[in-house]
Amino acid sequence: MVSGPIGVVAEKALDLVGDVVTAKLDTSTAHEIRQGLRQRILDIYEEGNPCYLVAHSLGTIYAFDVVNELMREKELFNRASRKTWPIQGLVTLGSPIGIGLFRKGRTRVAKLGEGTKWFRWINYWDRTDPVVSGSIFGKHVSGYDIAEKYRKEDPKQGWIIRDKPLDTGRTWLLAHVAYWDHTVVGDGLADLIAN
Amino acid sequence: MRHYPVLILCVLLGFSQGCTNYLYTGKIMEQDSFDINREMILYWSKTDPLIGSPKAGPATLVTQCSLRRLSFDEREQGILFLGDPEKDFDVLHNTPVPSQDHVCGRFIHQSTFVHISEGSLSLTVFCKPETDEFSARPQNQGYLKARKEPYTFDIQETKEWSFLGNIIEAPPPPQCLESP
Repeated sequence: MVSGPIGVVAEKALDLVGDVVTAKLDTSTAHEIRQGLRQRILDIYEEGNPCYLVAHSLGTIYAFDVVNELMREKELFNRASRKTWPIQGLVTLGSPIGIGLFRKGRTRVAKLGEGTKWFRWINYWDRTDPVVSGSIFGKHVSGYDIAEKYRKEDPKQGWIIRDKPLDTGRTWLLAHVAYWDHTVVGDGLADLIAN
Repeated sequence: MRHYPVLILCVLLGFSQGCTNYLYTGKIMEQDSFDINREMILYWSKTDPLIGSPKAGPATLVTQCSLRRLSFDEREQGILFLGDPEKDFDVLHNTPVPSQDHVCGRFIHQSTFVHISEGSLSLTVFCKPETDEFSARPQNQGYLKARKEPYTFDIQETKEWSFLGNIIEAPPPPQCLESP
């Protein structure tokens, strides 16, 4: 057993690698996490409350999967009526969804079908967040689209997908944990909920 | 002697994480979408690290007594306020916003946040808010009134150096004295 700062770093690194493997390999733990999230969302829906899902890091992969899974169910997500939607909007922070490792099996979003209502997905990411770039050194990501790669011209898709490159005020790993305190994210969430 | 590793770690951290953090803010008093005089605050941040490229944005426009927060995002076409179908209506073309790429406003003569500094900044807004049954307090959804002529903000810069990076606190929203 290694103690001291090196031990702490090693433990955190092992935790992180374990989380990535769990999500990537679609293990029974990953299935359990998705089921738990899905049930919590449906409970909130049955209580009659609107739900906006905010997910961070690897949690965004589970959130993406569950939203799409629910959207494919016939009795939910009637595009004409937002009251049939168990989730009103999705906010992802520092998501690795643009990395090839996680794109596999997630090449498109579920279609909402015919109608005029829109499901909103806002993806905040910092240009030096290593989880977003997949680069351990926090390579500066240029360009503007990560989630927006899921956009289709098809009017039946029904998603408004917006990437928001965000200056968190920090760099590298500290950028990855800075989203929760950021005013821009709070303002964006307030704007989403108010409408 | 035994403190050397700690010192070296501090220096390395300073080089890898140290940066200058900037906050840009501007205020104006103008009519909102409902023809009421409101205070508007525009803000965004920039981070210039010791190692690596600077990054900045997006800009947020906060309107007094409004729940809307307009976001001006940097895109290939410039710094844009993109309207949302259902949420915004294009007043200049007299049409509901048809798609998520519809431009409802933009920064004038500026295309990247990292190159904007203190001084005069002009922007336009072409849209007004739309509401539906999920909108909270429809009368409090206004933002800068749509018009052809640009609005001009006097942008002020605040900066501070930080060892581990920092989020400079954004300005508080203008006080609203109306009851909801």
